[in-house]
Amino acid sequence: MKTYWVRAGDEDFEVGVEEGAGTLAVSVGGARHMVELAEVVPGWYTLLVDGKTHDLGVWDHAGTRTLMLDGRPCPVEVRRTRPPSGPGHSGRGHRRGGVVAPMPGLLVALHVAEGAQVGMGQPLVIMEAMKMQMEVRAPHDGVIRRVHVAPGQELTAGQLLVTIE
Amino acid sequence: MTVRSFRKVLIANRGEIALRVIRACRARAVATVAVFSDADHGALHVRAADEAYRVGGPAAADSYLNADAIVEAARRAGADAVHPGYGFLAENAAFAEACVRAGLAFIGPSAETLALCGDKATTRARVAGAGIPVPPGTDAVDDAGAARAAARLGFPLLIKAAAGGGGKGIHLVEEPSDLPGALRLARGEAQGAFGDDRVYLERWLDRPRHVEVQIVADACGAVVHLGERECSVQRRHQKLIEESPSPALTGALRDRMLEAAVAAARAVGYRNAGTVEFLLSNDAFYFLEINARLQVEHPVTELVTGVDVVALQLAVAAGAPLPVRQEEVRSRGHAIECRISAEDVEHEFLPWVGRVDQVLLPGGPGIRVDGALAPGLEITRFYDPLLAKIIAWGSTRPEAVDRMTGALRETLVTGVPTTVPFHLWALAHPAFRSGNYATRFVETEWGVRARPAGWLAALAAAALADRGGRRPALLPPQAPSSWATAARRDGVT
Repeated sequence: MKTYWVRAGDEDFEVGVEEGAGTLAVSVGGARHMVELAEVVPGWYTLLVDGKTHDLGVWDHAGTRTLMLDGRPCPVEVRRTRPPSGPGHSGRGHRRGGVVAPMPGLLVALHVAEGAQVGMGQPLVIMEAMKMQMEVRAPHDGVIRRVHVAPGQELTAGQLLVTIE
Repeated sequence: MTVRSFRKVLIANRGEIALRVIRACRARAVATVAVFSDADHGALHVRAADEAYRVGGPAAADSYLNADAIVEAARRAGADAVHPGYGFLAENAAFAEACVRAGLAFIGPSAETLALCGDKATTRARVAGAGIPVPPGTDAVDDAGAARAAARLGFPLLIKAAAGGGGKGIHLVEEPSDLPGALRLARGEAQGAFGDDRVYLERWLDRPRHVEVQIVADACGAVVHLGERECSVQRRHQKLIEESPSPALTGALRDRMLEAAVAAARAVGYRNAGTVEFLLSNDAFYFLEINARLQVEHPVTELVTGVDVVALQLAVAAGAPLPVRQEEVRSRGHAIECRISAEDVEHEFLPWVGRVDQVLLPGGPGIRVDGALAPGLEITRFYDPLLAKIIAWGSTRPEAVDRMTGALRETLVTGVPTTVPFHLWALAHPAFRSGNYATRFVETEWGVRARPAGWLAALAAAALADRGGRRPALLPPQAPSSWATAARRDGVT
């Protein structure tokens, strides 16, 4: 049996997969399901779960996938090793105390300095990509411990901007 | 005015719109000249044109906004006209003037009209003077004036760039406390995009729909409209889906709106192709602005009217009278366009930077694809993330929606996230299906979309991963099977 750690939307699952003759036995959330998967056209599958069919679309991009299950989109990430506990292992969003760039782009303006007191929702920096400007705001109240970036700097998605404590 | 015929046209743009204009020129045996930045030297528009000239570094300000370098490229190439596409310098009066000074025809309105239409506040006043309704709002205001006017107009309200266009610098403000921050962002974007940080305020209308009218005017001032486009499916004031006809218009209302669009074009002395934008709220419509350029969504109009808008642009810019009369323009069936952009729809439609891996594009009856998309394409932060436009035509709206759904399911782009999953969701949504949707559709509905059951999505993801190792590549090299070998042998004997 192989084990996969899957993040689907905001939820984490541990999924066990056993291969049979043309069929997979998949254990998830304490239940065992008989599963078949057939690619119909490129990127689109018929997923058979315990005799019930589902329409499944798949798009791959930069290490993650978007699925569309019966018309409902959902981002998923699959790992073969147990991820570090706690939410946010996807690298997007905010790590504890750290605020990261939500997209790649240019740092246009920095509104805070080290030692400054900030309130939740207060603008920290302005970023720009493809002529769109966007404010990154404080996720919670606190004090700016470190500023890791400077105006004019090119940032990658997920890069640490400031540390708030 | 004498009619000249263009021998060579320079396209001052990139991406899908540069290819669109190159195709229109090629169909008329007009030679084409591309320009490119250092980020684009291998781009499709460069390869498609007859000649290509480098105009600067990757940043738009150094290349596609570098008017001097572009005019110089046109001179060196011996071009006799310049097509600006949309965005970049398309609505830049100084560029249009520089072209004309260099003896080049500018395929668009005159510099005077561009300057007028670029000043949204002045255009509003001019059009209102012609008896066309405009939404309640202010002229350009400073921050203190904005706070006072906001108290009078009420919330929510919109901040717009006075020099703006293309949705840049527009911010919706829900509450008084958000006004200072939104003003700062709007002024920053306006300064960056247009070099002018003036803004004005506009009242937010109840469930507004965005409906626009395509117009074309010739050098003698004859104006025809080519019907309307409904563009209410937007995020961040950028359109995602457009369709024609608008499901919101009834006969009499449509006639009044089309007439108002032609009157607005006359009021500003418009020439060439342009779009008159309106907001529609409860059967009342208000003039928004004139987009003095070819629009991204022009193919929607082309599919229902059969008119080649770019060909008309070339003809009237050369001084020819409009080859179509108003009574000859007929809209047939229904057309829908979906914009396929490299954006992360799961994270607020943020633009994505990366490398496109595999590409499969759709086809079949009623399907048109305008794109500049190929495997290996690098998407940089310098330019718009639009990859391709899929346009579907059907004899009825449901048929067009069904064809579009099929086309989106055929479309496969890997390596970067795209808007395809969003479009499939939107086309299946009851509000879109019924035609009864407004400009906040994405904002209100996408945020509360139904998710698949988490365990089922996890099961599907794990099953796919398990199959991953044995899954055939998208386009595997076909080893001949014995069936294929037998069939081939039968074919030759």
